[in-house]
Formats: sequence, structure tokens, C-alpha cells
Amino acid sequence: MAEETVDVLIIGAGASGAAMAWSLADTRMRIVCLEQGGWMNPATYPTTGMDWEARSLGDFSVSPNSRGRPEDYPVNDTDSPIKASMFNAVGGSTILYAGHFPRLHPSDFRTATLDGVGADWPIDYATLEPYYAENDRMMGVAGLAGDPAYPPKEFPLPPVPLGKLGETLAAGFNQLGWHWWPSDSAIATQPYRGRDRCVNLGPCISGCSQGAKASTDITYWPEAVRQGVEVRTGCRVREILMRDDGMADGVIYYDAEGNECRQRAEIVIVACNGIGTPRLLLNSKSSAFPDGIANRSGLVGKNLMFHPYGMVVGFFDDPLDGYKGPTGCSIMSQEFYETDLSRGFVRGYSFEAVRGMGPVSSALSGMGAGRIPWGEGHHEGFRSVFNRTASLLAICEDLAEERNRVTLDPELTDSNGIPAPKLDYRLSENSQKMLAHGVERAKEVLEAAGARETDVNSPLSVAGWHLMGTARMGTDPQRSVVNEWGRSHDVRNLFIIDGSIFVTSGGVNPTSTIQALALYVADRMKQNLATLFD
Amino acid sequence: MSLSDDELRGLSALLNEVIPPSADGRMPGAGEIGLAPRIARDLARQEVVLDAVLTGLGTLDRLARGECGAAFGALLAEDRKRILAQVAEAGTDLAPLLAFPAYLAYYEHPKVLVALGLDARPPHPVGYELEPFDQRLLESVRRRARLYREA
Repeated sequence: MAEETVDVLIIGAGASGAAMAWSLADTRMRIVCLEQGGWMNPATYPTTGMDWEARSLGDFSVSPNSRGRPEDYPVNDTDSPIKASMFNAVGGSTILYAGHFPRLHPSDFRTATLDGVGADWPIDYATLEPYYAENDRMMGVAGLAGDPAYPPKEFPLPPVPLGKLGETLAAGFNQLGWHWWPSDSAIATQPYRGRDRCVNLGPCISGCSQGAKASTDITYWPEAVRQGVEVRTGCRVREILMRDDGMADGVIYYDAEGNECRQRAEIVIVACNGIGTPRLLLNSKSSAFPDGIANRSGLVGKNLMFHPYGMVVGFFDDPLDGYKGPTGCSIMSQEFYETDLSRGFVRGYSFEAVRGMGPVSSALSGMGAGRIPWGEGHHEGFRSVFNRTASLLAICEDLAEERNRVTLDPELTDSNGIPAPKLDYRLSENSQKMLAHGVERAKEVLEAAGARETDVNSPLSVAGWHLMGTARMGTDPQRSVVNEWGRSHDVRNLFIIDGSIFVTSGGVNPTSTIQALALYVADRMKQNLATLFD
Repeated sequence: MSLSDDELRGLSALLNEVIPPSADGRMPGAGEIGLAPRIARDLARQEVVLDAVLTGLGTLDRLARGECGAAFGALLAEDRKRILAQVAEAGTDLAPLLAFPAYLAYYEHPKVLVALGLDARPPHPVGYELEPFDQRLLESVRRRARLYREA
């Protein structure tokens, strides 16, 4: 049988791969997606069992290094104060994300022009706005219109309930006269497109058993598959192959049984996240690209951006019922988002409120903070912590720097022997000042809300959820990896659509923008099918 | 590796020192609710830690039998504390090794959850009801001028 050449090959079934597959499905092209993980079964997620908190430290840990599932690959992050978090499955990291879903601001696309730092994106907020809106409809985003921190936007679903914890924090922000707003949340607060409503289980970040949180395995993928897109699970791509004419030929991958396979394609789309994508590109060496495919600029893997997180935990006298409701979605603040140089740094950050923890997490974190001793005083310590904490995260904009990068580890490999990624990352002086400012303002809010004490954890080491910038977009092939619609400058049938193509990070969770970008790139591809490779 | 009955009794006694019963009697001690076998299984995943705990339990038992004529797990609370203090002074404090698995197992145990006033069930499928919030809280924010910059 002749080897099949598919029209479109998507690598990665996470946030962006799913949106792209769904959008392209109406072209009736033959589309295949290779995903190293499998389909998840929400009935087996941790919150269905008594050991739900323990499992969030084990087989549902956000760290691939701790989790060590067969489908995970290791990440050498010893030279980074922020450790990588991700999940490998159909749905990707949306399986474990909080569903906090704000958009970038218009200014985030113009930091060079407005503030003299970073680079301007080759597109702007207005270009992405219809794709943000389409994505909100597909994912089912809950929120409240009228936020003065954003251009006007509407939501398909009403906001998540704030609970006593959210209302307590909101009162603190009001007392200081600072901005706050109910979080934009990718959570179905009412039955929506076949998904049941949120029942406030709490720990969204170990998978939503209820199916209310919008992970792409239950939003985009079912619709894409119904339209004929094929998802092949357990398939880990080793490298992208080149043809003699300078076009991508397809990929070599290992199937679930470890067999080496080849898949040819007319179009190759990489959607493996800000670490997985540069890893794959750097592993795809050829005579045309000895330093990795699409890397003539030398920028593949460089400009790695996280969001440095400063976390402040407030301890209150009264119970806050914080274990009820979506962990990371209640209220957010953008009082300090836009640049004000009098603060001592450029650009800014958001606050995201975090609800309380369950009993096990409260006990373990209280032990780590020296608040819950073993032996005498244990129960008094526990009572002072459990159900009496509320936290604020300062999500700081990270400015792109070439020294912060993803490379290939010379020794570490995954279970298929493919070289693993290595991170080299340092916090800039600007980030450190921004973190310090965020921590002090968070303390003020928590105290205004009634906290008797606060603990600080900054920078939060486990907060490497947002992986951006390692194959940035731009119009100049010397200064960017892909063009203004995600096509590689160097390989005309190779596209990149995940957080790698971000030019700046903003100070908000990136998934909404990652997916809006994927829909935008898909639309541009469809509009230009006849001349796609010109 | 499975623990002998004596070792499990010793471990239970030790767990009661890590998380003792509360003074008001509401909260059980960690050794009273049958956690020892589960914690032994958890410890077995890290052989070095299990070895250290077993060695420590052996030391406690020898001292207990020498000084009190009974196994460590059978001692009265006062004697247990005294023996533990002696061993800790000699540089073998087992509590730090046991605290993490003990906290983990204790706070997911149904009896403990009920004692805390919580339902002894996983979050799903029942979840929790929360009321919609009072949007009057936002009045002052709505009155503010635009915060974002046009670009």
C-alpha cells in the first residue's frame, strides 16, 4: 500500500492544536493530529476519590518530572528558578489549567512603541478580537461585561460565583479604591454545548470530573473529530523531515508500541507548547538546517518567557469557605497592569485571587510554612490555617531576553531516546522589582480585607505554566521565526501556533490568546489556500 | 517489605506523637484510626526512608523493653514521650520522616473529615452550592475611567 500523504499534519492536541483542527475541518482537507498522550477519562480524575489531594501531587502533578507518566518527557529545569508545568494528553495542559481566561491588553501588542521595551507584534488586539470572541463561544467562557480594564467584550455565560472568599477580597480592593473584576473563566456556569454546569468542586487544576471546565478534549476536539479530523494518540514525534525543495516533508514519530513510523504531509503545523515546540524544531536537523529546522534566525528556543508569580497568602480569623468553587477563578485585578514608571519598573501585572485549599494541602503547606507543627500544637495550628486562607498571585509580565532559552540537553532523553529540553532562565531586574511591588500591594489588599497575617512565596517556583516566546512571530526573518500569520520564514509549509510565537507575554494567563492566535492563523491559511506557499 | 505486628503497633504509637489526639477529644490521634499499614505502604516507595523508620522503631523498642519492660507500642503516653525524647537527643528524630505521609493520610480519612465538620466524601459529584454575587460590590469600579491604553 502506498504511504499516505495527508493534507495537514498537526503535532500536539492541546489548546492551539485543537482550535486549529476545528477551524480547518470545514475545508474537508485530510487532517491528522499526532498526540503523545491519550484521551483522558474524567470519571477517573482525582476529585472522584478520597485521595484527590494526594493524587494532585502524584499522577496528576503539574510537573512532568514529578508525574513521570509514560507519555511525559523530562525537562531539565535545574538552571531555572521557575519549573516547567504542563500535561500531555488530548487537551494538553488545558486538562490541568485553572481556566483563568483573560485576554491580553491592546498595549501588550505595542510595548516597543508605547514603552520602549520588547518588540511590537506584527498584529494587534483589533486583529485578534473576533478570534477571541469566537474562542470564547467555543470554550464557553463565563464573565461579566463592563470591565474598565478592557475594550468592550461580551460573554456567553454569567460569571463564576465569588463565594465568601471572593467577596471578602473584593471588599479589600474596594477599600483601597483599586480595580477588581470577576475573573474571565473558561468554566461553564450553566449547561453549555453538551457540558454540565460547574458544581464548585474546587480543584480544577487536577482535571474537571464534572466536565464544566473547558479543556479542549471536551470542547474543540469532539466537533473536529465529528468533521473528520483524525487524532492518533500515543504518538511522539521525533523530528520534522525536509524535502529537497526546501519544504517540510512530514515527520518521523514513535507510535504507542514504540514502532518508528513516518507520516508525510503537505502542511505541517507545530502546536507543542513553548518548550515542546523548540525542542522538536531543534531536534529536526538536516543539511539545510544544521541548527534545527526553521532556525536560520538562530532564535528558536530563545526569548523564553514565563510569568514570574509572586504569591501572598492571607490568614483570616473567620472561615472563608475557600475550598468551595473553582480554585483559580473568582476575581482578578489589573490596577497595576499598565506602565507607570514611578513604580520603578516598566510594564505591569495582574492579580489573580486563589481560593483556599483542601485539608491535606492546607496541612502540608502549613507544615512547610512552619505554621502546623507535628506533636503539641498541631490541631491549633491546623485550625488557624484550614478554611482561613485566601491568596493573591501577582502575574508579572516577563520581558523577552535571548539569554532565557530552551536548548537540547546533551544527556537527558525521553523514553524513546529523543533528547529532552533544557531550560536556562534568570529573572530580570525589572521582573524582580515588579514582583516586589506586587507582593507589597498584595499584602495591602489582604490586610484591607481583614487578614491578620500574610506569608510570601515569591517567585513561585512551581509556576512555569505559561511557556512563551521561543519561536516568536514578526515580519523580519532575522528577528523572528514565523511571519505575521504563523508561517515559518524559512519553510513555507511549516506553521507554528502555540505560545512559542508570542512576542511579549503580557501579565495574564495566555491560553485565551494562544487559541485566538490559532484561530486567526487558521483563518489566514483558509483565505490564502491557493497561494499558501508563495 | 511488610511490617510485623509489633512494628505496626510501634508505628501507630509513633503516629500518635506526630498527630496526637486533640485536647478537647474532637480530633483523633493519627495512630488511632488505623493509618499505620497505609503509611507503611507509602514509605515502602522510598526504601531509604522506610529503612530509617524501621531502624528507628527498632531502637525505640529496645529502649522501651530495657527501661519499661514492654514494647514501645504498648507503653503509656508518658513513657513513650520519654523514650522518644531520649532517641531524639541521640540524633534520631523520626517525626520529620513521618510528618509528610502522616499529614497526607490523616487529612483524607473519613473520621478526620467528619471531626472537622466536613462531609466524608470526595468533591465530585456533589460539589458545593455557591450563590451568585451581589453586583453592587462593583459600583465603585464601574464608575472608574478606562484603565487600558489604546494602541
